[in-house]
Amino acid sequence: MMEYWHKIYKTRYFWNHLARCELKARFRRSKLGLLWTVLQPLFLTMIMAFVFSAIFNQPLGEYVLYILSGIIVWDLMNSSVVAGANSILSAEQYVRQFNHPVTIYTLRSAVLNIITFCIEMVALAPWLLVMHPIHIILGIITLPLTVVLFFLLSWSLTTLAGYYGCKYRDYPQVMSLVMQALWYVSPVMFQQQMFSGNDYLWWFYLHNPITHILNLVREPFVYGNLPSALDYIYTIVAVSLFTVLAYMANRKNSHQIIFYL
Amino acid sequence: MERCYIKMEHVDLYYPSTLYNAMTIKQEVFSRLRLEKKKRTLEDVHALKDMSLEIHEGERVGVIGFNGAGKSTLLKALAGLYPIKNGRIETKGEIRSMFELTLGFDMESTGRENIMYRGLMLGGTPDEVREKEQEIIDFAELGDFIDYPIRSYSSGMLVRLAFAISTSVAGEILLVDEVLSAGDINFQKKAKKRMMNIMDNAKILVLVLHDMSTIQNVCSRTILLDRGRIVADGEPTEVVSFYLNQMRG
Repeated sequence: MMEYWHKIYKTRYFWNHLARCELKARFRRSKLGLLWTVLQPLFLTMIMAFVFSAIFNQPLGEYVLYILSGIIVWDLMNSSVVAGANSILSAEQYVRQFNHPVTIYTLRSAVLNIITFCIEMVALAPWLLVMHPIHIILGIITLPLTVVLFFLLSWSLTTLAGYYGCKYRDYPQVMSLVMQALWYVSPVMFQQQMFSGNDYLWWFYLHNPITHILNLVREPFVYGNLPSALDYIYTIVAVSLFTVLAYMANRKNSHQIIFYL
Repeated sequence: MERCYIKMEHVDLYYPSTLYNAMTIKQEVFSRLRLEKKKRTLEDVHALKDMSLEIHEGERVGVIGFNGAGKSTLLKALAGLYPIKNGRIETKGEIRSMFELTLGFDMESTGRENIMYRGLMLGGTPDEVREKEQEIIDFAELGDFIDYPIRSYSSGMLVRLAFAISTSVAGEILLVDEVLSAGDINFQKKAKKRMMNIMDNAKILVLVLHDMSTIQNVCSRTILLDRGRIVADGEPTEVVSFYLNQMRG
């Protein structure tokens, strides 16, 4: 086990570079580059704010922050589960040549996801400055732990996706359907009151880890509260569960995976 | 205590049939529910059969045999890339493998950037790679082209660059699979010299090659493989002539 971690550490320059390379490749031919990562969610919420206020004559207010925080966190999970399926497949050429730990390739994707997450969080800033500048302080205090938890979540989900994406080539398609379904029963954009009408839905809302994972960002940034202990417990349990699953998938498949590439 | 060695004991290596029977989630679910007939399954391919082999420090081993005899599989098993079903492989020493040199290039990046990428991939630190950069550029004879994205390179230039980078890092155990044929005739001479040089510096060399004269020149021991088994092991001249006789017969 220690040896495995040491190997990952020894290859740090390599996977770091892979992550950087991918980040660069994403914006290679665009002038604004990384800025797009911030602008895209920012513009999206601006459009929504405009549509809501001009067409539906409804004040959007806090809902902008609600949606934006929802989208940012959902993006992280969605790209771990769906795009993560490509993380080992796209490293085929390296897996075939080097006996590096396979998890460095999913680590690369997780690092990329978490960097994207942090950059996207910047899009919250303009709205917060206008509406609740004071929330930024609490937000920044809680953010480091949240980022660590989200990183572990992303790494374990990506590792699972990476292995099963190699074994079953239709994994991304199936998982994007699953994620779509989850989206409808999770408070990513829908607000709490939309779930309270139905007992089953309400029960699911309360016990859905995604609700609590979202709260880690929402409570401090949107409402100015500390996330509750329950939010942390649900998140940590979910992270641990996926970490154990990823560990088992790695143990079972790490040597066999070369045959599936 | 020997510093470097390779020990294989009764190694069996299979290419699992799942490789050819690969399923999708849809097929997996449907066949479990018996809604779809299960595909006819193929059998595992037995690529290395009960193979035992010891290589000690200072040995230069050439591996020869017909296509499909298991030469490349053997090298990849030694490199730790393929899992084995039975037996044991024990190696001591830092392994450097040279299999498919042109894999792993980023076509959009410049030659200089790719030197860094591959250098890191081969286990170097950024400083180490930067130190070797100029030497690699000179050897690959790329001149100003080094700052062009490598998608603008000809295939010859690409191979030269790949060869120059891969051979810039030494290792104790060197596993080489048919990489001596890089570039045009002029470059090949240079390449061969450089290759000989790093082979001389390696403590153990295992070389897969179809060029019998090089095998006889370079190697101190030759192994002939046939269908996953070692059929001859000994002096290069003897094994090569045995192989050539077999071919005629």
